[in-house]
Amino acid sequence: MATSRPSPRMIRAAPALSGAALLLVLAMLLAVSVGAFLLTPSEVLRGLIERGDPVTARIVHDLRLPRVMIAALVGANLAIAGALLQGITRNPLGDPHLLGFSAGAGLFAVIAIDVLPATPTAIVTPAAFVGSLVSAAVVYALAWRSGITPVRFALAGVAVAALFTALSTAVLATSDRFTQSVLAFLAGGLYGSGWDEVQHIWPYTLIAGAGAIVMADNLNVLALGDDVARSLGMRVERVRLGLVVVAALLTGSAVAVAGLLAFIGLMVPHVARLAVGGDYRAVVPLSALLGALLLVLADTLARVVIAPVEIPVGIVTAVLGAPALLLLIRTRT
Amino acid sequence: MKKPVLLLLGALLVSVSLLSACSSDDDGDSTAEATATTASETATATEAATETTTAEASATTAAGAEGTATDLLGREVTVASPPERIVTLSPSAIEILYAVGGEAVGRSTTAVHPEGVESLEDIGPSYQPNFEAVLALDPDLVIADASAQAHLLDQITAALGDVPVVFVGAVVYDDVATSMGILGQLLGKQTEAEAAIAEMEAAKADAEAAAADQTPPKVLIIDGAPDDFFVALPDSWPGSLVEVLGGENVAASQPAAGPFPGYTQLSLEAILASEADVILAITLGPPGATLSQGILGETAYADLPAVQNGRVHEIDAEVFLQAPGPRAADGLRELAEYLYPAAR
Amino acid sequence: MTAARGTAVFELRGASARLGAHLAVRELSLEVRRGEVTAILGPNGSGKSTLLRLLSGSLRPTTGAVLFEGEPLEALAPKAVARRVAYLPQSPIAPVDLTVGELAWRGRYPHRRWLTAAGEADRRAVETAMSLAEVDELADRTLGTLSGGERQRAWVALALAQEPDVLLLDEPTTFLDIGHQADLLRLLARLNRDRGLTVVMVLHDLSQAAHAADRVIGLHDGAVVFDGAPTEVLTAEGVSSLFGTRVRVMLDPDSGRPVVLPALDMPDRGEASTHP
Repeated sequence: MATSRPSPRMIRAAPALSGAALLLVLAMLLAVSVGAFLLTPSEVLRGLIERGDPVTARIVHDLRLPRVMIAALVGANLAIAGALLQGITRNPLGDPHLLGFSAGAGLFAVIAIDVLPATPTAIVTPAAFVGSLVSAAVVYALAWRSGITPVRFALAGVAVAALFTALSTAVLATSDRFTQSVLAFLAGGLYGSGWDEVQHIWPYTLIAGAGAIVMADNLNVLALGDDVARSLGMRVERVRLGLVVVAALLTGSAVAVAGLLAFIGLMVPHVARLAVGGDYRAVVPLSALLGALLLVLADTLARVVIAPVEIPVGIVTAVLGAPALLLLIRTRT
Repeated sequence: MKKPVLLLLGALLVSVSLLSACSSDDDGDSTAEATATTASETATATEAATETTTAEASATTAAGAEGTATDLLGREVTVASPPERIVTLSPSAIEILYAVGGEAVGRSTTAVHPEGVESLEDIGPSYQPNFEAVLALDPDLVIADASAQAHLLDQITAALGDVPVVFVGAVVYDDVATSMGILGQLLGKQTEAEAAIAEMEAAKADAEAAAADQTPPKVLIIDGAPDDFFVALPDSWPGSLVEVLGGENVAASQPAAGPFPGYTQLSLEAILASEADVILAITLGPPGATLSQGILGETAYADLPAVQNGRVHEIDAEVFLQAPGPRAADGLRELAEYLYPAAR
Repeated sequence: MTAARGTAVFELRGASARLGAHLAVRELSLEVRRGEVTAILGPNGSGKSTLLRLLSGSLRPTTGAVLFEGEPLEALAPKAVARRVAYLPQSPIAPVDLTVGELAWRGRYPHRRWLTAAGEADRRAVETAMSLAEVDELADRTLGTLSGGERQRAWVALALAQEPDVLLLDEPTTFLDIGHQADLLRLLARLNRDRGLTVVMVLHDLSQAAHAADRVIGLHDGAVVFDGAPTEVLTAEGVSSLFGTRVRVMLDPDSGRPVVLPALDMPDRGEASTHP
C-alpha cells in the first residue's frame, strides 16, 4: 500500500536530487575548463592543486575556481530564498527580488559604496546583509496586523521593493562619488569575484541553507493554511519569522557578492516543484542544486560567448531560464 | 517546536555574526591600506603622488636593477628589473607608456593609439579587463588606469596576485607628466620620460602665453549625443584643460550629477542663461549628426553668443575625453586657438 | 481515552471573540463533555465557526477564557494540544499538487520530534486514518484531481492521522452527496462508540444533527439560544425562533429523533420569529 512509505515524494526525489548534483559537478568542471582559452582536464587538475605551469595554475586556482564557486553559492542562496518566500507567502511570485529583500540589500550596499570612502567588498557585504534584514523587517511590520497574512506580506513586499529601488536610484542620482562601482554593483554580475568573495558568502550558504532544509517540513504544514497549521500545533508566526530571517540571510549575502540578480529566486523553485512535486523537503535542496547549476552555466556562457568581453550574467540567466521554465510548464501541466 | 526553532535561530544568528566578524578581520589587513588610499579622493591622491614622485625622481635607476615608484593612487610599486612584458588596461595607460619609450604586449579593446597597437593582444574592455587574458600574456608589469579603474583596485590586485600593477592616467593635465615620471622610473627610461614631460610643460607654457592679457571667455564643454549630453565640470579631464587655459567654465558652480564624476546635466534654461562664448562639443555614440551640429541646428540655442559668433567647436573624443594622455599637449594648443583666436 | 466519559474536555468561561469590528461570539460560557457528539446549529453568521476556531486554538478569545481539561488553551504547548485535538476548517486550502497520502502524513506533524524520521507508529497511524476515511485507494492521487467528496475524506484522513481524542469539524457534510454524508457520519459514530472520540461539529442540516448528535447547541448572534438533547430542544418553536422561519418537526419512528422540515406551505416568518 502506498501509505506504507514514510514520505513517498522524498524517495521519488532521490533521482532528481542526485541527477542535479551530478550535473552541477559536471557544469563546475566545464566552467573551470573554459574561459579566455580552453584547458584540458589534466591541466585543470594540475591547476587545482597548484602544480604545473604557474600561469595556468593561477588562472585555474585564483580566477576560475573561486568564480565558479561564487556562482554556485549565489545561485543556491537565491534559489533557496525564493523557495522559502514562495512557501511563506503561498504565492508563486514569492521571490527575494520581487518582495524587496534584494532591493533593501541593494540600497544599503549603494549607500555604503556612496557614503563611505572605502573599498567596496569590505563594507558592502555586511551592509547588504543588514539591508536585506531591514527590508524583511519593514515588509513584516507593514504586513503585520495581529498576525501576517500571505497576501498582505506579498503586497507589502512589492511596495517595499519599489520604494527601496527608487531610493537606490535617488542615491545614485545625487551622488558625487565614485559611481562606476555602484552602477556595476546594481547591474549584478560576478566580474572580478575571487576568494575574498567566497569567504564572504559560504558561511551564510552553509548555515542558512542548512536551516532552510531543516525547516522545510514546516513549509509543508504552512501550505495548508494558517488555521490548519495552528491546529497541527505549529506556532505559525514564530516559524514564519524564522523562515523570513533565513531568507534574508541568504539574499543579503548573495546580493553583497553578486549585486542584483533577478529571476533565479523566482524561477528555480518552480522548476524544482515541477520535477519533484510540492514537498518542500525535496523542493528546498533541489532548488539549491538547480540554482547553483543555472548560475554556473549562465556565468560560464557570460564569460566565453564574446570573450574577452563579458555579457552581464543576468541576461544569460533569463535567456537560459525563461524558455526552460516555459517548456516545463507546457509539458508538465 | 518552540525550543528547537529558537535554538536554531539563535545558533544561526550567533554563528553568522561570528563568521562575518572573522571574515571581516581577515580582510582587515588587506583592505586597511586600500581604504586609506582609494582614489575616490582623486585630487588628494594626485597631489600626494605628485609630491612623492618629484621627490624620488632624482633617484636614479640603472638598467637591470630594481625600480620603485609611487603610483597615482599612492601605492608603492616595485619591479625587480626593467619589465619586458607589459600589459596595459586602458587607452590612457598605453599612450603614456609609449610616450616614455615603452612597449606593451597587451592592450584594452578600445586602445588604438599610437599607431600599431591594434595588433597587440586584446585583453578586454577597460571597464572590465579580462584577467585570464591578462595573465595568459605572462606580464611582468600591468599598467592600470588611476581615474577609470580605481574602483577596480581590489579586483585587479586580487586577480593578478604577485604581478606588479601600477596605476597611472590623468584627471588633470599635470597628471600626464606625473604618470610619465612614474613609468620612466619603473622602466628605467628616465631620459625619455624627461623629454616627454618637457613637451607637456612646453605645451602648457604656450597655452599660458596665449591666455596672457586676454579676457577669459565663458566656456561650455559638452559630451554625448545631440539629444542627450553631459556638461563637463572644471574637475573633469576636458574641464581641467580649459582651466589651464584660464577659461571660465560656465558650469563651475554646479554639483556633479548623473553617473560620471566630474560631469553634470544642465537644463536648457541654464545653458541659455550661461551666455557661453565658446562651446566645445565631444560627440559620443553611433555615427550620425555630431553634437555640435545638433547644437547649431536647435533654434533654442540660436541666441547663445557662441552660436552667433560661430564659436561652437567639435573636439576629438579620444584626446579630450576617453584617453587622457600625451596627446593633450597638442590638444591644449588646439583649445588655445578656440579660446583665444585673437592671440594668434 | 484518559478521563471518564461526561467530564468537561473544553470549557468556555465568558469567552468573547471579535472578528474585525464585529463581535462574533458574546461572553459564551459552556462545556464540551468527553465522549459526546455535539452539534452546533444556527443561521449564517451566528458565530458557529468562530466558536469552533476558539476551541481549536486558531483564534484567541478577546475576553474570557477557553480551558482545555482545566488549563487555559494558550498556556499549553500547541503540539501537545494538537496530539489531542484535531480541527478541520470549512474550506481548507492545500496545494493542488499535493497527494492524498502526503496530506494524511501532515497529520503526524504534532507527533514528530525535532529532526527525527517518521517511525512505525506514524506509519500505522496514517495507514489507519486513510483506511478509516476510505481514501487508501487514492493515496497517490493529487488533490487537484479529486471530487469534492474525495477531497473532504482526504482532509478527514489528515485529522484522524493526528490520533486525536477530540475532533472539531466545520460543516463536514456540506459538499458531500447523501451517500458520503452518511458514510462520514457513520464513521464519526463508530469512532465515538469504539474509541470514545469526542466530536464537536458545525452542521447545517438539522435532521442530520438530530440524528448524529448527543447534544445540539443553537447559536444566534454569538449567544446560546438552546442547548440540550435533540429531542428536548429541536422543537418547532425552538427551531423556528432560531432561524426566523416556520418549520415542522416530526419524530422518526425508528430512532425517535426529530426530523425538521421547512414549512413551505405556511406563511413565512410567523409569530415564532421573535426569538428570545
